[in-house]
Amino acid sequence: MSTCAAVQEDLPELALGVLDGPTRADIVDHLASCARCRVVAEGHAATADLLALVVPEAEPPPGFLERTQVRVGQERRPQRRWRPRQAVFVVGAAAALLVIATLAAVRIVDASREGEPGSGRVHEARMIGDDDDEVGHVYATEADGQDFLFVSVAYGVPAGTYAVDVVGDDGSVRVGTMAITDGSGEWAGPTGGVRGPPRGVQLVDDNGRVICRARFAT
Amino acid sequence: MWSVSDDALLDGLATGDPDAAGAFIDRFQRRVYGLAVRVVGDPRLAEDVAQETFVRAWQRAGAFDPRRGTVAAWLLTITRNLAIDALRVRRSVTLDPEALLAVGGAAPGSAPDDLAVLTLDAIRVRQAMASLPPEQRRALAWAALAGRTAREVAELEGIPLGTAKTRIRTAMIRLREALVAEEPAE
Repeated sequence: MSTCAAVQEDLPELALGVLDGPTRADIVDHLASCARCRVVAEGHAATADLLALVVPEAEPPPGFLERTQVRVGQERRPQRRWRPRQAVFVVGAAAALLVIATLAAVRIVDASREGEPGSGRVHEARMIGDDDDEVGHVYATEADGQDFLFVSVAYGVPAGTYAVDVVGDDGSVRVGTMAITDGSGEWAGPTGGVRGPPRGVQLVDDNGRVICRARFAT
Repeated sequence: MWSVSDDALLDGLATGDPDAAGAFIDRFQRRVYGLAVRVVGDPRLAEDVAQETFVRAWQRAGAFDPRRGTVAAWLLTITRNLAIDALRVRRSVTLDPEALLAVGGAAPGSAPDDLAVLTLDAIRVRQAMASLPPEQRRALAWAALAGRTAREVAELEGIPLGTAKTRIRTAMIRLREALVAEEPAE
């Protein structure tokens, strides 16, 4: 866990949205449990908001409003795969269990968010994208001595094929690829090769850039 | 519609209502296009960037978290990131962070009589930025307006990474202090 002094050095960059994914995830984890750093982060966020005003406004070309309305109307809104958080967990966990159950015999002791993946329970983590927006969910459970993952992206990720990396204590391991179409996609499979329980999951594009990332509670 | 808050307008956008979408675009188009055209320098490319901004806003409206900042800042961050990505595709274009702050000239592609419009808040922020040491102002402009990480700022300015991070952090702190000092007493 990062110290407050180290975190506060990066808070201006967090507020400006220019931190790399792994560093941002570490800081967000720290902020979740540190009220003092949250206050500092809020101050920087307020300053960053004002910076958005620095560049002057400019009148778009004639017809921009109408063309943009047409374009927005033509975009099919990706299917939202979750509703309020409690229902999301039930629906998502049920889907994850269904997929996992087809891969191996599963004995689930309890559907709970407590504990680490690998304890026989279903664990959920939010998948966060570039703009710190929630783009999907990841579910992990253990079956027959092996950890399984179910990754679901609902929207906000460009179409394409992404590597699925599982992050463990000693680094990340590539466990598969996931296709995103119309902003959404799913993947399920064993974590395999990661030492200890998985700490998180990330989707990586062809350029090695982490597009979105999920971290399990520890 | 103009009496509706930005948050409420975004909520309307999230419902998929065409009237709400039109009002949202109308409210923010000048700010979004203004940033896009300053960053990419090409009016046609800027229009593409601005349109894509509103498409993404429409797609992600339901995930906006007001605790993380204002709708305007969220939207302009999308614009900035799209503009930077568009610039990276066009490798021959060189971005000057100081040019992003220039107000004397009109935005690229605008008619000779067009004037860049600044709100009073924007003027306060620009004055506060002008009071920063040049190296801090450049570092902050690279990060805030051109979306550069501290590592990229270090490479662009030819300075160590630690120096780049310090310049960005110090500039943010001094900027906030300057803006707080300017706020009228209640």
